[in-house]
Amino acid sequence: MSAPNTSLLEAAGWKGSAARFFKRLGTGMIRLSESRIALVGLILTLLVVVAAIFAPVLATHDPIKGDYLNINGPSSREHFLGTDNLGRDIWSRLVYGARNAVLVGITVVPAGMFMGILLGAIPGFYGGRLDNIMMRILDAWLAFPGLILFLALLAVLGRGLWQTIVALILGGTPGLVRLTRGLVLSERERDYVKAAKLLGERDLRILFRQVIPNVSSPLIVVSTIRLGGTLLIFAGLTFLGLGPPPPAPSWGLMLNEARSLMETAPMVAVYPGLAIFITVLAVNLLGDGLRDILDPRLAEK
Amino acid sequence: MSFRRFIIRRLLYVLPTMILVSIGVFSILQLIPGSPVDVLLPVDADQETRQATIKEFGFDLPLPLQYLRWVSRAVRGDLGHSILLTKPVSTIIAEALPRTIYLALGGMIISLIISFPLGIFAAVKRKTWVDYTAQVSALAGLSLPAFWAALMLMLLFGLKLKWLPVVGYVAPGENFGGFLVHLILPAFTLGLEMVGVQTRMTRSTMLEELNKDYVQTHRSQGLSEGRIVGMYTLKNAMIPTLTVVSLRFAALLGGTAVIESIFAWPGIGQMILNGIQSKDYPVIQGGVLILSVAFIFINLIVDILYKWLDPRIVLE
Repeated sequence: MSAPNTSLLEAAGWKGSAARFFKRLGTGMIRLSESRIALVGLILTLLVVVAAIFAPVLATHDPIKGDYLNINGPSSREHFLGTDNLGRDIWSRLVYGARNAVLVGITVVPAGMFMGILLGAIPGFYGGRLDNIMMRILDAWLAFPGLILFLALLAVLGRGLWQTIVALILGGTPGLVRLTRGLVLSERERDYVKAAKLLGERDLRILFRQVIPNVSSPLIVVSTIRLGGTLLIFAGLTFLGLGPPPPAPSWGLMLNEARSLMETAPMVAVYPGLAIFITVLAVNLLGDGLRDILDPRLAEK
Repeated sequence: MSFRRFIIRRLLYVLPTMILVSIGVFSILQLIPGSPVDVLLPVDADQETRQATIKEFGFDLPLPLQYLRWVSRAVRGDLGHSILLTKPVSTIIAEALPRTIYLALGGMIISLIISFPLGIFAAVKRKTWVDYTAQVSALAGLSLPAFWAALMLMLLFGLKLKWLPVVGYVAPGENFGGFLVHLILPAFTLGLEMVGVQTRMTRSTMLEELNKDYVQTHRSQGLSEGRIVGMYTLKNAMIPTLTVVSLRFAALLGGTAVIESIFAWPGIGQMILNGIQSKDYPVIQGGVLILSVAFIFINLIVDILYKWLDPRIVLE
């Protein structure tokens, strides 16, 4: 699209292209560092990401191979946080466990946005029967309360890391579809969409070039806020033994294994829980911070 | 729209949802890899039993007919037989469902006891340390893995202090005191899970109410803040809060699985989990179906009640 048209659209309420958006996100990050709480969230999140990337460097031992001569060991210079019932180093298992959390974040969030656009934005933008059918399907999707939807999905998919990730994506879809659809519906009536139509733009082009970039702030904010809950569900499903199978170094699994040791080695149950808590707290703080910066209107809700 | 038309339209909305949900639950058995007959029978089943099962479930019929057969049985309360326990699924559900309801109710009450005063205080004492403390604890509550909190509480009250039993269930009809003592820890953990969301919601509803014109009028008349809150805003803020709470109660019925598993509380969640572990598909289907239907109907009742309380509401 040529430049004069863009300025016309901007006059009609369009906030600018995707490139503009990333510029705003950049300045947003600077403002993020001004909000102390959000900054704490950002730093903690980065720490988890760093732990995940550099796990082989940070870990002092193999996270899976146990030292059978040293089971349920106390914390020592050799083993920072001690060893579990199979003699595996708890610190190393915690560090490797960060990989699962990061994997969930980088798969579930973009996939959720994709589903939101595919099943919410496109039918919502066109309206009509397709949109109506989609909404009825979503109603049914949302009628499986709480964890039940995930349990039903895993009953079909079977256990495992990737199965759990697919279940998390599918289970989170209805919420994101509703959100994306709602945002697109309210944008559809705005002047810049009418202006773009008058300029002879095709519908799908308007949706992807103008409307979706215009609603990307609330989409990113809500996706980040939801990630905290998603990580908790992931940990819960792993804890129930439906996620990655043992001996994978996964926080939920570590807690599950610690259950039988509670009386003899209570600390084994403390560390993985703390790791989950801190990670989820970090993401929640970051989400709140991003919300205040990118989309202050959402903060009211 | 008149109240009666609202109810009729709302009921009509339920129908397609119910049909889609039932198709979804029916599909569980069809979607798993392998033939459903093999899934339903023990590995060493002979040819005769296989044939009988195929006949019983109508696996030789076309899928739409199989579905209709399954639905018509389910509507009459026949959800099939558990493979593992060789009992009708409906009997198992009838035993397990009340236990899940007790747990959800207990969790609800505990979360209200904590979050209601916290949210109201935070709103009234806005931007003071009370507000910040409430908000930080709400955020911490949102980030806390409930099953970990459960383990820590078990460790403290069960194993160290030995005040409460760690796991298990006692029927209320059998020994009500024992029932309550066993309920405390699981209900508290479940309640803790919701404190974050509910504190935030109570606070924002209360803030909205405190910003309304009538509050200003009362202030200008010299009414004390405590009396305004106690006599007016509290009542007005109750309705939206309680609606959301009741909706969350419905969702809570489906969110007890982890807690039930930790505390060996034999409810529906535990039943579905056992079903997944032992590939007992009729049990999974029955549990998922009953909770979804309960969820749909609680939402229906809440919507109708809400309309009755506030006739301005229109169906979206």
